Amino acid sequence: MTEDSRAAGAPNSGASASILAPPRVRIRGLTKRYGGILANDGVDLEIPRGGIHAIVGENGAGKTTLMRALYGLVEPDSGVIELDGVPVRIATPAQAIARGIGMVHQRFELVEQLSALENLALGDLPHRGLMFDRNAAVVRAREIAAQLGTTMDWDRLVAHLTVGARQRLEIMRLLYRDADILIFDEPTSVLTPQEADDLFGVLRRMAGQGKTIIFITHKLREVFAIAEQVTVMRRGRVVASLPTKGSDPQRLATLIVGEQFASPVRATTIPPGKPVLEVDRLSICDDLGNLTLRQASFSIHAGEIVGLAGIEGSGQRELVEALVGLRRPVTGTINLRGRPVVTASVWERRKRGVAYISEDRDAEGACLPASLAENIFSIERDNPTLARGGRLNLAAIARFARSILSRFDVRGGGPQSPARALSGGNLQRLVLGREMQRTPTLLIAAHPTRGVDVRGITFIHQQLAESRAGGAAMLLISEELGELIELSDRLLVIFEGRITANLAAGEATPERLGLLMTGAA
Amino acid sequence: MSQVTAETGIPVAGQETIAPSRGLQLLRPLQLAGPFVVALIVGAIVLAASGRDAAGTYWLLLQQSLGGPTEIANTLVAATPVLLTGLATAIAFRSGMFNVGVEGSLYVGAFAAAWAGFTLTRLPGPIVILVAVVLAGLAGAVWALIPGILRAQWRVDEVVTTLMLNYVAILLTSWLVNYFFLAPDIANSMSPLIASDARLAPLLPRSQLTIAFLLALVVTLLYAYLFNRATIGYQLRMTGLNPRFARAVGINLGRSIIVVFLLSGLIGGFAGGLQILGVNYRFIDHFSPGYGFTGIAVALLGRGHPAGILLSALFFGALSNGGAMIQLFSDIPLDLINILQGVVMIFAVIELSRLPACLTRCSGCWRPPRRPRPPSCSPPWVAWSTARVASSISGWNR
Repeated sequence: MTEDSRAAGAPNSGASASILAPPRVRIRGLTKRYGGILANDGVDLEIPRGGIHAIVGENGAGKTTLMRALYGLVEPDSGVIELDGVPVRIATPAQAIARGIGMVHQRFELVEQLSALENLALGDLPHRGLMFDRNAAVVRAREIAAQLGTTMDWDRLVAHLTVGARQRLEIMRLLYRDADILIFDEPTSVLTPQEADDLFGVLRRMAGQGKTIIFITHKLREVFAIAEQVTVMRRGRVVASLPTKGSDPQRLATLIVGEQFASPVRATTIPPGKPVLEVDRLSICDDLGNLTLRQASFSIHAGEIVGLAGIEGSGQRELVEALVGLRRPVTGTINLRGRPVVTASVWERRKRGVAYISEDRDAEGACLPASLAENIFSIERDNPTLARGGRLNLAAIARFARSILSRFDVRGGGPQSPARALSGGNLQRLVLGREMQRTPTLLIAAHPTRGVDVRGITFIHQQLAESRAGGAAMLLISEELGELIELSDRLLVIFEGRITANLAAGEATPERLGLLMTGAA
Repeated sequence: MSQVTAETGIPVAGQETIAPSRGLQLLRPLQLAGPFVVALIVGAIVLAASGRDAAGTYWLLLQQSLGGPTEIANTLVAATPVLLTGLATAIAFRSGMFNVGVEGSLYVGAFAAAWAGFTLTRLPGPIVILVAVVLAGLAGAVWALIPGILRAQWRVDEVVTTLMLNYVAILLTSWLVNYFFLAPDIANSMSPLIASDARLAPLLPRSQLTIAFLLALVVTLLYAYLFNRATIGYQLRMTGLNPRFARAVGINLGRSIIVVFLLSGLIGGFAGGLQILGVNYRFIDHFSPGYGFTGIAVALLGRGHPAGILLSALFFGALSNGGAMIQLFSDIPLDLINILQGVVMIFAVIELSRLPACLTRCSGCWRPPRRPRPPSCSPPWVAWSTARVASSISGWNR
């Protein structure tokens, strides 16, 4: 108890406090090798009780492996894990949970066909005789929700919950199992900015209650927003562990990358060329038949990046799908270089120079079980050197894939490796390379840097800028306002399915966009 | 084949580690053989429990199925229809379509071939054979086109439609043969015999081994070519692995579905037609002992791989041929053979669901199509049990 109050009162003194009492978690010399690669190389880490501890690093720096070792999903080759100064062996998640360690994964582990309440109680069902004691579960559920200061629609099926609500449910499940060390693996990557703010509120509250929170991320903004202490990992090693107070994003970014990285170059403004995409009074329904985009009209010119800002779910997804050819609009026209394409198929549009970076990389942008070569070949089916007369030229496809992999610096596999083996950032490079290879006339880029590390983001930004310089028209959708403002020549704001503003690059500030996006201006 | 050098081995969330496990790959042949070995052990236990000499029975089974040229020839004959239905099923499965209606295509194909055989008696033999085979394939393809269109156009679940259309096909052909094409002077429900010119000639004396088996081998090669070398096969494979991805890169899903059902039905129709031209020489009401359903087992056991399908078709052919013969020389009931088949399937399916990592590691390996399913219940098992239950209702093992 005294430890709790000390940690809460003076969170930054965690390091000195550890001399007096053993830290909640101490990892010493943890090493994990995958084949020839050291995922964790003699990692030492101390995390005091209470408070929020961030772990940052590039994709593949070893953050997730380290946390999976702590949670019993990965068996380390060597090294010691101590909880409160006592060495423990954690071989399975069940053992981790028994010791109070819980983990929220990037992809939620919930049963969609069951209700929120049933998911909460799953694994430790309160029962009366052989029957599920629903009332006891409800009482427990309410307690936990009150403890978090949040709410939950307990009878709703998980399939019908929003992503934010699902994540809250995951957290509640950990509390239900009495976890007091909570590990979050990039929890905000799936959340809207609003949901992320809610999450931060919940995390602060839990930290205030003496829980130890470990937060894996690569968004520096988040580190400074909520963490007291931050550990930087690079290539499987801990390179620094420092309090956030007295540090700054630039310094942290340098530690993460290990070198000074060039901040993305704002390309000089070129006068835009002819209109490439003209959208006129476009209205689109979503899968449920709700009109999610109403009477949208805009155009994008050659050599122009148009950013689309908006709260997630304002109609962006439907617009993108209609532009690519995945969704038939209700009314309105889409012209590509002056020719109507509303009824054209995806393939016809792609042949006319439409490229598409999907916001859902794992499910739509790439085919995870297929090889890298197959992923790259997917939009090159009309390339006569790779396939002719209905026959694949496998050798040429492998050569072609290898050239893309090296040109776009995709690391982690050769042409025959499965796409599943790549980290998120490398997979995005592959998708980008595949789409850029064809020098598109219109590029639809939905959240191109989502879940990508600092170095990858810089690279992607450079590629987008180059493509623009080459005369491509581009629609850029992102939840990072900074990215939108930096890259876009013009910004559209979408609110509740309507395009409510059309700003020149100079007129847009995060504050102004924020107001427009929420319908406040 | 797959050089998994995962940058860090840091797995995608929700997946076990994807460390390169060369050991596991060396074990693969063992894994594939596993179901057969375990099935033989369980069969031995059943035999011993019923007071019979297990080793002796197996020896007899082996002799009767592979003991000499005639025995081998008969095993190949028995393997021919299930090789074709296995390929027909596997084409659909690998493309993400759960077509369990090959039995239906087989019936209409068989009827079409028989009709050509007993109607076009004035034409020269080879031409009748050609016409019969083409008609059989077309009939099977058209039959499979029905669920294909329903699926492509209105997203009607193909498991339900294909399964149900099997009964429609069986009963439709039964009606046709009983009411319109009954052979004169015969009490059983059979069509007239096909012209003797139109029968496939045996390649070996005292056997029914015909060119049908060679044609099935050619289809196997074409199957391998389709999925490994052809652009259309690539599109079908991507559709099967990830339909959303396939759509986003511009593959026309509706067209893929139609092509898949046409090809699957075509091969199913061939299976029926060749069975008539090479073995039965007439259409017999309810003639198939479930070739189409055994095809599901063959496709699953063979993991969608052409060589695997060939091997498992030979295995089922040997079982069925040896089992039929063994009855003549011992008091072992045919039910034991059925038990063996069932046990092989059970263990094959356990392997499927227990080793998802092995199946999903590389695209060359085959993954059963994904569809919504209750937890802890794998799709092949669902389909297999549905097919099994359905077939026992219709009495396919009479």
